[in-house]
Amino acid sequence: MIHYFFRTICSGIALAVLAGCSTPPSSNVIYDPNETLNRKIHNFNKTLDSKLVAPVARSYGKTVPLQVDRAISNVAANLAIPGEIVNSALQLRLDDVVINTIRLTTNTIFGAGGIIDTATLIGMNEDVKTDFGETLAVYGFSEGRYLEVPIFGPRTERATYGLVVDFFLDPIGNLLPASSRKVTFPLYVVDKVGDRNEYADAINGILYESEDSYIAARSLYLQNRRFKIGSSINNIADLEDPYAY
Amino acid sequence: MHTKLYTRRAITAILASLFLTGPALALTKFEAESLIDKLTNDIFLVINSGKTEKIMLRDFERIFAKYADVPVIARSSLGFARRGASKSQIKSYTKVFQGYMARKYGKRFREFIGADIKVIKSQKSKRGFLVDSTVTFKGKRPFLVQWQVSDASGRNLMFDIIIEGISMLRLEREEVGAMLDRRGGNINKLIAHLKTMS
Repeated sequence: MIHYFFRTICSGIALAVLAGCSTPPSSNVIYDPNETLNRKIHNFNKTLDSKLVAPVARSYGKTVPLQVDRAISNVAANLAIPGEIVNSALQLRLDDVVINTIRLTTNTIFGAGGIIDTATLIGMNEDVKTDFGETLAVYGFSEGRYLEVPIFGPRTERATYGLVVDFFLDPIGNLLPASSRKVTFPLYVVDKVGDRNEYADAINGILYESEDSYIAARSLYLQNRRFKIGSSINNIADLEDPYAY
Repeated sequence: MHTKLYTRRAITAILASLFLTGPALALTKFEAESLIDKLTNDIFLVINSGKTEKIMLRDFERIFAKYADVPVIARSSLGFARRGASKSQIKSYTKVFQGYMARKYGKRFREFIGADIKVIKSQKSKRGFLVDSTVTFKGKRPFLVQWQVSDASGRNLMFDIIIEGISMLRLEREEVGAMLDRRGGNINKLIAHLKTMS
């Protein structure tokens, strides 16, 4: 009953937002009708990376000690948990709600407000990373088009709407005084710069060493996103079969 | 009457034995898992060997040739273009492709120094088994690396690596497809290009 109620309300809201979310692509298909525009945005993102983000990330890597970098990403991950709990609840995945609640309380109380990932250190491997894009998927909305979003990079259409909703959903920002944004937003940006530095080899490989960085980024993103949402590879029938031809 | 019955029984027995002996040669779950066990062991021995990059890359190519179904992976990476390719083109493409793969992925393996890999389980798939393994970096949560194993070539070989949902086979088909597009679909130009790639 509750399930049904939730479903009706959420589909109603989402339907209004997602009127444009068209054509359900089957699990291994790439639906990219806006390729020309996407490629332009991709080139913009690439320029932004090579001129600004990558150099900043390089000097970040040289100056910021590893422990500080780790602390920043721990705090950022901890701050993201309340929003993830809301999404898990909307997805009616109560075990995920429990996992992240344990994570949040453990790291906030015994990890100096999230600076230390105590939960992982004491052997908790379960971690739930989720977002409103996944919530929409749970309610049956199709992935939609492939989009390259300025600054954020590759997204599905569904994940893009999710990005917007998650921004407004942000329970931390709504609970803490407005001034806290002055801290949380820069923290988010610094965390992303740290990621750019940590995964430099992988990101450089995609953007600057592949034959067509647009195609490489699209393939990597879609495959990984579908895996995370549980709509791909877990499915044995979707595995590659090179012996078939 | 009796002879007829015996004949029928004999035929049934022969038919049954045909079906029973057939799968006995097939790849087992244990074989699939131990193949990936050995393969990952070999890779990590090289990763943590402290040898120079040049020697490591040569070692990776040897491991790739030993454990992977290189001809099938190479052919799959050509996508539809394989249909127009001649036998000799496929042969020389497979050779340069093997070196290209070893160099491309071998260079990335240094990111795995100090990591720990474990085979955890496997399940039946269309062509054999899908073997799950986890890679753990100290203080971080493990991530999933899956391997497809098959004996369709006549030997037990690995033919796809799937890291957190990303299939190497798919990725390379798209990458090689882009290379071909830029060279007007010319396979000889593609072969020449892969030779020059460091």
